[in-house]
Order: sequence, then C-alpha cells, then structure tokens
Amino acid sequence: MADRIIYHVDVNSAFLSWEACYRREHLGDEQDLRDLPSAVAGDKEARHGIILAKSTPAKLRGVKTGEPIWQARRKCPDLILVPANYGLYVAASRRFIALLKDYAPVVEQYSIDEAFVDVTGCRRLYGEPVQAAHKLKERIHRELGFTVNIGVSCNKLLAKMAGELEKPDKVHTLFPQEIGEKMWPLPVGELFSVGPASRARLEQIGVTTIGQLARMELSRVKALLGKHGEHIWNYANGRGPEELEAEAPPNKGYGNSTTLPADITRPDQGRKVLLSLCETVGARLRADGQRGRCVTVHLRTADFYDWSHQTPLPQPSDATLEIWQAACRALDQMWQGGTPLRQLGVSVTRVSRDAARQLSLFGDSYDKLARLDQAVDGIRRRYGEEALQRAVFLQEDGVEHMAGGLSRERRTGVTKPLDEEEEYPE
Amino acid sequence: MERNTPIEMISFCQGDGRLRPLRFRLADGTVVRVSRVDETRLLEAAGVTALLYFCRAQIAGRELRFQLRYLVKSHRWVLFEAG
Repeated sequence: MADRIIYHVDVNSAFLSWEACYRREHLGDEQDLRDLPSAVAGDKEARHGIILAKSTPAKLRGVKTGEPIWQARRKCPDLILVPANYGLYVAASRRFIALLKDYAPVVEQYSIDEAFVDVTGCRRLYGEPVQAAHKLKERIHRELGFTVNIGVSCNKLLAKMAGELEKPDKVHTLFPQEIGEKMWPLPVGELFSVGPASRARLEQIGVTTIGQLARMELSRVKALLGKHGEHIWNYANGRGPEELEAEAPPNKGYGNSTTLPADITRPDQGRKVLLSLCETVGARLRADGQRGRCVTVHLRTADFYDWSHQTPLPQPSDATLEIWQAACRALDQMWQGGTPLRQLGVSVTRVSRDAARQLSLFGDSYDKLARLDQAVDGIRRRYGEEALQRAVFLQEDGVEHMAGGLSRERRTGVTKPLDEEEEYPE
Repeated sequence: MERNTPIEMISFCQGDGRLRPLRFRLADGTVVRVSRVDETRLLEAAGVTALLYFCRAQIAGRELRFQLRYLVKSHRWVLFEAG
C-alpha cells in the first residue's frame, strides 16, 4: 500500500466568496465583493447581527468573524454588509462536494465549506500530490468560481493544520518531517481542538506554542487537561486519525436554540419558547426516525451566564408534546422567572432508531400523539411550515411558532448531511 | 438596457437534451426572433447552474448581439446583456 495522502480542502471565506461569485457571475455586478471591505452578516434587525464571513480587505482592517456588526463598523466604517443567503450557500456547498467526489473516491465532508479527500493511490492518475493539489484548486476556481486552500499530508489532522497555514488560494504541505519547522512555532491556540479554555490553562503554565505542548510529558498534560489533554498532545506531535468517514456519523443528539427578540422574565413565556423549539427538534427527530431518552434545556441570561439542566424521558420519545413536558420540568427546576433570559435551547439526546416503548398501565397517549405529529409533519412538508401552527403562537409577542436554527432557510439542510441528488435532479 | 431582465421564451428541446432559444418577448411586448446562436456555455459559478447563449437577432434592420441565460433550477429565461 502506498503512503497515505490526504487533502484538506477549505473554501476561503466561504459565505462571502459564494455571495461575491454569485453576484458577479449570475447577477452581473461590476464590482467583486472580494476586492472590497465587505462581509456577510446575520440579521441586522434581530439581536444576533454578527459577522458570518468577511473579505480579505475587511480582514486587514481588523474585522473578525463572529463579532457584532456595530463592533465591525467601528473598525471599518465603509464596510459593505450583505445579508446571508443560506439557500445559495447550500447549493454552492453541494456542488463543491460533488466536484470533490468526482475527483476522488473517498471524501469526508467536514463542514459546509471544508472536506477531507483521500487521494492515496491516485499518483498515476493525477501525478505528484502537490502538483495535483494545485490542479484541483485551479479546477475548482475555473468551474465554480471561488478559491480554496488545500492542505496536503498523511493524516487528517496535519492536512487540516496545513490548510490553515496561509490564506487564500494556497496549497501547503505539512508532512511529519515538517512539523518542527511549520507547526511547532505557531501559538498553541492555533492547534486543532484547542479552545480558549485549554489555551488559557496551558498559557498559565507557560506553554504558548504548539512545540512546547508537544515536548511536554504526557502525564503532565493529562494532569492539567484530562483526557482531552492526551488528544491535543498527540495532535501537537502530528498524530491523528487517518481514516476518512465518508458516511456522516449518525446524529448523537438533536438540538435547537433561539436568541429572543427581547429578554423574557415570566415562566409562561419560557414554556412558550420551549414549545416552539420542541416543534422543530421533534420534527427533526421524526424526520430521521429517531427517539430520544433525555431532554436538556439550556439557558443564557441577559448577563450572558449559561445554565443547563437535563431530565430523562420516562419512555423514548419523538413526540413534540412529551419532549415539551420534559423540557418544562427541566426549566422549572432551574428557573422560576425573574432573571431575564436572552437565549433558550432544547436538545434531545440518547437517541436510537428503534427504541421500543413499554406498554403503560396508566393509559399511554403516545400512539395518539404520534399520529397527530405525523399528520402535522405531513401538512407542513406539503404546504410549508406556516400552514399549521398552535393557537398559542397567534399572539403577537415575537415568538416564532417553530424556532431554532439561524434562519428558516438554514433548516433546509445545512445541519444535515448534504445530498446532491435531493434538490437538483439533473 | 437593464441587465438580467426576465423574458418569455419559446425554445426548442432536442431529443438529446439540448435546449435552443427561438423567440422571446420582453416586458414591453417587443418580440425578438433569435437568428443565430454563436456559442453556448455552461456556468456553474457558486454552485448555481445556468446555460449561456451568445446570440444574434435582426431588429429594425440592424444585427444585434446579446446574451440569453437559462437558469436551470428556477426554469427561467433572462436577457442577461445586450449591445
């Protein structure tokens, strides 16, 4: 078997690139957003107006992904903001993944805009891995109109680290013999899966680069960061998984959350928001034929404190009403109103596909609920989500009847594995 | 002339799947007969598929060149640019 070669292909400023490319090529815009200080932003009206993607000129002016719009505007007053168009991004992502699958047999989609491609054994077909990566990068640009970074190495971790080295429109290698020179001098926070918390703890003991982490004694890293410490220590030494997961792993849980248009302080408001979240979480469970055994409610207060509490379901369920009742119990146990809440979330975990329900001695309404949910899902699938809603949501207080996800459009498949056949029959 | 104007189209679908624009009508009622298709191209920029037709037509005794587009997903024809 030839040495394994993995590419990590990452779309440069994906949402912005796709938006710019669409506007230029399909709408005939003269200017290209990629050449101007510009950004794709979330909903400006609602409170979650944040920068979702930025152009290189905006990046040079200090605009950061994830920061609020007002903050970005302060740094860059002439920033051009365009609203997000998730339908377009899903289409672009699908075409991008389809091109990669056309190129190599094993492709693992890692997110909406990045994928791992196993090109082991493709040398006779495409030539030397680095030259071939350049050709693939050019092909994506020529056929789909946007640029990518390609990281080349022998495992997924190093390929991903290579892809992050310098952007945009570049091919980088990061083979094990290059780690010392290319990866070890980087700040430890740049290492895959080192978040702000781990970074802070490492910096406290004077570990600021990936190289310093790599040279630590494993026992010390584990004492500091537990099991996660072992993972990142292995990553720092360039060891990581080689096998690609071509099939998306089954969902471990189903969750949605929503940032409210205004803070809430009363339990009845809380229960109503939970109901709107349970509508979407329940529908997702049923669409995948899953039932869960545990319901977790997450809260974020107006002061940005996060709480969560979970409660088991008496029987594995996918019924909106049963999930909601459990969610209300969890909410009651940690919040009785008062403290203003800004964000709520509901997730259902411990899911399985054929969880059996035990017959109940005390009258079980599940069959009735299941038939009801099935009818509701069917109507919404056919006539749209607006076709049917609970009367409680008719009251105009800004609570959507099906909450969760960044926007309605986004529910069309970004969180699910993308399937090219689904929406674009040729 | 504004770009990307939606038009009503009479087109010809060949048995092998090829599509050819024949005659179209602008919003103001003007009917244009496509006299010649010089070139066709497939555009897949940003994952959105469109068929591009670089065409000519005789209008008021003058030959005009323009580009028509068929948007595959929405099944719409547009006059992309003229002149």
